[in-house]
Amino acid sequence: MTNGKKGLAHRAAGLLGVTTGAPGARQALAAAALLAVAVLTQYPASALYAKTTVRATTDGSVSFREPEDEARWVAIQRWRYVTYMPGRRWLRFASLGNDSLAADAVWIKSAGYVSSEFQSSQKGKRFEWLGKLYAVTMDLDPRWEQACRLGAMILATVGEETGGSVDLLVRGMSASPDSWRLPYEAGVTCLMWPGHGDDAERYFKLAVARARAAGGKSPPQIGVIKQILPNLAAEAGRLDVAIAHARARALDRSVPAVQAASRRQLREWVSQQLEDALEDAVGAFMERAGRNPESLWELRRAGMLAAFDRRFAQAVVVFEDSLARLVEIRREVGPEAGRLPVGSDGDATPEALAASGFMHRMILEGRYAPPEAADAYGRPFLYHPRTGTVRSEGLAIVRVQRTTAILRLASGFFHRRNRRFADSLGELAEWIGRRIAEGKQLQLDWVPVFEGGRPPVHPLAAWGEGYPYDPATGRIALPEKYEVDLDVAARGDLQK
Amino acid sequence: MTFAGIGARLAGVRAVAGNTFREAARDRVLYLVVAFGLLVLVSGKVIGWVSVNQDVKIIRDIGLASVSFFGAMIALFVGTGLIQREMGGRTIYTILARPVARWQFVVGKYAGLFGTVLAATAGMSLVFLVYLAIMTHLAPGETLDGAAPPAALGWPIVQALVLTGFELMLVTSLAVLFSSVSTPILSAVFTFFTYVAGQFASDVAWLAEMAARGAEGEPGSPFWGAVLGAVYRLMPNLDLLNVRGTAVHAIAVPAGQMAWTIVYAIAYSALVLVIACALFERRDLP
Repeated sequence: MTNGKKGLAHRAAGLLGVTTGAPGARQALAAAALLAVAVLTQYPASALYAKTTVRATTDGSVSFREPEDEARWVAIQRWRYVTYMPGRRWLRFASLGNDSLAADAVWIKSAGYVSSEFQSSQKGKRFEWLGKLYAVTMDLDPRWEQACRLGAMILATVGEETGGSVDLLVRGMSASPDSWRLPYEAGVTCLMWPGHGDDAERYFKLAVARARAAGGKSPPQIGVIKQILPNLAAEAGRLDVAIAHARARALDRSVPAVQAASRRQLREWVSQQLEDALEDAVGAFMERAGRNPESLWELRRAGMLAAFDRRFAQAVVVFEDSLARLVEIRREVGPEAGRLPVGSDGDATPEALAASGFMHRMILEGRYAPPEAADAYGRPFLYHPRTGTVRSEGLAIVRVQRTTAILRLASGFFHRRNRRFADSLGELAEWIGRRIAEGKQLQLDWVPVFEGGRPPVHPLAAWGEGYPYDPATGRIALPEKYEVDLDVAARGDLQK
Repeated sequence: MTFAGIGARLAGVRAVAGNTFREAARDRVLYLVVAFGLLVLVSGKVIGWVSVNQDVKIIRDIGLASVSFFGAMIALFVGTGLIQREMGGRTIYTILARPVARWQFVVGKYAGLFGTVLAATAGMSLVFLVYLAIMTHLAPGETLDGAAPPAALGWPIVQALVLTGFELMLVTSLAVLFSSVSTPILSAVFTFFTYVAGQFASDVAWLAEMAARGAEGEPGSPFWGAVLGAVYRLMPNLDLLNVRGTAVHAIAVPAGQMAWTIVYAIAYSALVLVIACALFERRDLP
């Protein structure tokens, strides 16, 4: 080394506060040897590290087994770069390489986000960043199976992002190739996603293959899942999904018993959906006018029943009563109403009717009279102007019949255990509610009726109705007006 | 060299190491960092409460990260001033006046400091394992379908703690290297940033690959790819020693990977130490 070069090195080192000295030959040799060992051992160590550690060097660069899965994951990238929230790489820096810890922080943030969004008053924009939060969590800790499954569940139900939910599960599937629960969950989610039955089947097959390969517990019977799925969707508040599934089965004539049961469910859910649409409209009217509408017709005149009409035209025509009413209208109106649209088999199918816009036209022309005569049982919607309550009469009848039956059973149960009848429905409800809280085994459909230990509220309570209870006999009477059979009539009779 | 000669040299190292350990053990900063580390470790449960039934996973994450981070902080705060303190107090002359070579002094300082770091992190690890065992027993957590959650304590957690020990071995050697050639503040800064950079070695590898290949239609630069590739190979790859992400999910590291990684950590620490000795040998003492 020349003096000039040495001086430069010393000056540079001096700037950094470093005092340098040239190492001896023996030390240089030792350093070179150790450097070679360090560099060489890094190759096998890093190769093995890459195999065991799923830490993508680029976001979402984990290899996918199925091309469709990869396409799905590419689609989720939109969440990653569009918001102010930092992505995987920045959070990794911030946590000094502790990705898993950063994933915990994002996970906790997502829990807080869900609760804050529930309180948010910004309608229509809720849970906007939920998918992004879960995607970043999975980027940081791809093997966190619990977070993946729970996140996907929340995303599908609360966030109503069924596609995003499946994306998340696919991400987890790639990082945890031995887990059968993730493809199984993806299958269930796809079943709740109309039009994705093929995907569901593919994921279920993958779940079965993985479960078999692991030699562990098999996934629950997939057929059972398919059967209970509409109910699960309805319980989760996804009435649209429940209706889509139940409608497909209601139109399937191969198993009459299943068809009849599906129609019963369908009537209930459609009526519920229409009731919700009307209550929303009443709420919107209240916000705009500062008072409840005088009648449902005032809502129509104010042009606030568009959502209701749309749902009505799409859904209610599946029922024979409605079809019968339509046939009647056509007879009354004459040829001017046009031909009743029919499907390929000659029936006036709901799909043909909905697609034709016939129903909607009849509604708009005022020939068919919703909302007063439009629930899925062919019965009116009742409206209470003082409270703004809307009730489907058909649905109210069904609920009163069902609740009365449960109350009668519960009253008998109370008598058997206490050797007396309950003094009031309040006492009966409190006693059963306490048993529910204590985890005692009871019939499943009793739970929603007695939850919280309060007596059930009559659906027409706003109209002054209630469940009449006689403490002397423990009997709950069903008024005559509820003694009606709302079951489905034969389709053929109504097509005459 | 005879065995007696080796023994005599090691005796010198041992004497310096013993003194360094005692001196470091009296340092209040050490106890402050350990206390803070334990506090953070125990707070994992509090954070776990808001984690939707993921308490044990979060306790594991916070515990493992705390042991690593606070261990590195001990090396940083206690280690970077060790040699400079001897020089400032002129006590180094009394040491070097005895039959103790400069390299023995550096190696002794390193051994003493690493012993201190190891003792502190072993203590923290023990508290963490006991705490984790108690928390797992009290609230085992449950999976969505009732399947058994991964074992909270087990070989993967132990592996992660062992590799953290080797990570700290490397960080300590860096602290001694910088301490032997620079001021305490600059040594702390250099050690901290080398520690941080080492955690992102795999990102440098990715950067090298991107530079060589080019991104989104842009032409790549083989030169910068090679430069960054060399930086990746030469910088301390602390990322290799971080298996905490897999350990929390009870995924064990294969024995081969464990062995190669340990060899790497030992070789790299020895390399840094040789450089530290060489630089200190030639250093002009004030």
